[in-house]
Amino acid sequence: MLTIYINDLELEVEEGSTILEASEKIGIKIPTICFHDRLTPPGLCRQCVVEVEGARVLMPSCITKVREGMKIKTDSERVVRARRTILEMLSSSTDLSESPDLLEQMKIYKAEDGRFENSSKRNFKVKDDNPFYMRDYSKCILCERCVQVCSADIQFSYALTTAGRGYNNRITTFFDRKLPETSCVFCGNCVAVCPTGALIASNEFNVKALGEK
Amino acid sequence: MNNTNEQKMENFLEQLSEKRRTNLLPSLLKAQELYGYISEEVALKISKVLKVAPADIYGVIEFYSLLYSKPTAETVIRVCTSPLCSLKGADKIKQALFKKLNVEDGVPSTDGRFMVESVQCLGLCDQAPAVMVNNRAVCNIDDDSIDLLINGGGPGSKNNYYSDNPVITKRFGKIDPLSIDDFIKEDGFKGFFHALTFTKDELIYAVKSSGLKGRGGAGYPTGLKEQGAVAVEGRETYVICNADESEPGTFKDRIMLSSDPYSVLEGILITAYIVGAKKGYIYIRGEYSEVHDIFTKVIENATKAGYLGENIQGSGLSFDLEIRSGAGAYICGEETALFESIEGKRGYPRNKPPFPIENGLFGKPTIINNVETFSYLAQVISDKKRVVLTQGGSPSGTKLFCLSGDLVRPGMYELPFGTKLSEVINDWAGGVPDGEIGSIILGGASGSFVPEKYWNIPLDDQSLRAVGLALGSGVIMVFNKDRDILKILSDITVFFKHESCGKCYPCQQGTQYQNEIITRLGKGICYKDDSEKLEDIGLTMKDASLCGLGQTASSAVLSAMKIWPNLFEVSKGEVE
Ligand SMILES: Cc1cc2nc3c(=O)[nH]c(=O)nc-3n(C[C@H](O)[C@H](O)[C@H](O)COP(=O)(O)O)c2cc1C
Ligand code: SF4
Ligand code: FES
Repeated sequence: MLTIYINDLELEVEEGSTILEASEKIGIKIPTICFHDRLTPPGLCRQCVVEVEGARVLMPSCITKVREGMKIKTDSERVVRARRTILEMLSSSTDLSESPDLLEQMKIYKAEDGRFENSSKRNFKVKDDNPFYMRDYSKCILCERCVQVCSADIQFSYALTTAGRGYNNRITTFFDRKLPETSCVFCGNCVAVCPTGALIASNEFNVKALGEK
Repeated sequence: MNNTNEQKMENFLEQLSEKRRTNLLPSLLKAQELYGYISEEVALKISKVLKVAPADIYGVIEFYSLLYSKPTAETVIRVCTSPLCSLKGADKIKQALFKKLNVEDGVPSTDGRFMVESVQCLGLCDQAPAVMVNNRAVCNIDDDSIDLLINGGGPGSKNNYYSDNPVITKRFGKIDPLSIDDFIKEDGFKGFFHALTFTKDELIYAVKSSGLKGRGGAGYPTGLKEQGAVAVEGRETYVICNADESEPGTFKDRIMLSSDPYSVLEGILITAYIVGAKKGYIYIRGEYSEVHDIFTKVIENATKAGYLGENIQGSGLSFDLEIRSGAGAYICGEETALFESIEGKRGYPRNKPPFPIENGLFGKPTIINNVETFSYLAQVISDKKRVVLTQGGSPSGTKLFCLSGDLVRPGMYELPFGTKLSEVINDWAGGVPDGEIGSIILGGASGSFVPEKYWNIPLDDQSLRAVGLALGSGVIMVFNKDRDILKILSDITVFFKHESCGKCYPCQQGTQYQNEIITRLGKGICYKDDSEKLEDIGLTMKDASLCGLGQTASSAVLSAMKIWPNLFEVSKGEVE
């Protein structure tokens, strides 16, 4: 067991646990986006960052292991600024209307919806190229979970990839082919892990569209 | 599809010793060279031979700037639009080329003969403005050279270097860079043979006490890194030379590798000896095809002369070195992204820990150093006095500085640590032609503007750190009084937006919005909360980004906001 301090609270935790796990144990909620407890944590959204005494930058709590004597602040000014700004940027570029968890986080962090000018808002036409599910990449937050489950984390179909670079990253298939022309087996794992409604079963999509009319 | 090209591609894939994903980038670069782009058909062929999923191959093609999934042209003209070339008229050159060849940015001409494309820093900043015409650099371009370069001519690149007390540039100009005999006559490999007479612990002690720190930007003590890598002895270990050099303002590694390449090889060999590595890589940025050719010869000659391969010079050390070419991605200079690239993947940096010395390339312990670091290491070890040093000292010796911008003599300077900034600019580089210094950036695009009160500061780690500055890879960019700060920032923020890998949110999004705001400010449109927004974006990138790229992508902007706050405020007058 190791002794660590979270927000000045002393606690004993097992060696090998992450800061996120340790915090959960004492009921401190740290927000996450890309983390999924059954997938390899990619540590890419950085929403779970915390301040660790002595570290130059903030540390992602979902993948940072506790060390003896570690002093952690989960809600310092730097932490809150980072979380709020990440949400404000996401909401400026992406349609978060079907992401209840993110909308909830925006409330908690008093993030201003669409704070940054959106001359470059991500707008894509819905891809409807197979009978099973649709892809609305205007809602995609690039957590890359779908690519993970399609590849070595679960399915080994390798139909999906991230293409592009930086802000222009996008999830797609080999040469942007239609899904039926790829190695996709329509297992549905990607739809199951998508947190934002960018991937949605076709029947569900149609029901929603009807409801809106 | 051209038959002979098809045959060539087939042969290339056939002769690969390892038909695995690690050969993906070399195969794609080959296809790019042969066909001018990578078609679905060729990608599928590569997929079959290397056993890489087609989707993954597409993801890789679309990541790297030098790989295309659509046809390009017989002649591709890449116009550098990074800060230094931009300053010297890159935009004018680009427009002239568009007009003359009747093309748009990045779109091939209808007859498929020409394509003109805006690109980021080509490492020719001291000879700005510069372009690449296919693999050939054309520099110091003026109105007259535009026709020349279209027709295959124009002034090529030069190696501008100066020093009055050279340590690692002492052989420059004295030897034929390709001749291993010349190198040996000038004390080449002395450090290597010297190393063989010591134990690993003694060598590590010598490197540690020499104070040598990494020259690639992060400044990590080289001896400590070696010690860490030795600690995991017994496992297969790799040595990697990082020659990806893509930071705007940096061109020292290009000059080093084309003027004294064997000295870099010597440093690599000494490191291999210390950490017990049998295999190494030198990762050279894709745009440096001349350097690539030079090092191919160097490896050939060194192998023939018994300095690579089995039982090198009877020492018992066996070591092979392989060249890997980058494919147009600044981020691949980041060490873990570089590993991913050699493994045939998108250049996404990894979360650390684990650190390279425990878990690097192919999951094996890996020691990676910059070109200049290796060359310096060879010098440290060849000097008998240093090897028996008993007391550690502060970083002694010299550093390569890259000077560019509005200067009489831009170029590379080897100068002692502690030389004053103003002395380097005025006495060495000749100062600003017909004018005065307006602003200085230290450290490259990821560096900061230097407040005027520090223009006399001695260039050493301690002095700089004390005032919150850093030398980085040794870049000094100088701008005259007439230069528009917002224009410089606009070019810098375009660079980061273009080069962010997009893996982590703060940098993927932050580089985009930072650039949008700066570009708008440059057009004279200012909103009242712009400073606040830039600060939120900048500090979030700095604090929460996954790697050094995002963590420094706002340095220049944040430093400018401190020095010239009114540039970012509505008081400027224009718009509310
Ligand atoms: C975005 C980014 C780009 C980098 N580019 C280079 C590079 O081109 N060359 C280099 O030697 N180091 C580069 N580095 C630093 C490397 O990650 C690493 O620290 C260095 O190669 C270690 O060698 P050294 O200890 O000899 O400096 C870069 C780092 C970052 C974050
Ligand atoms: S900081 Fe930028 S370059 Fe580095 S991992 Fe994040 S997105 Fe990629
Ligand atoms: S939850 Fe995304 S980085 Fe930790």
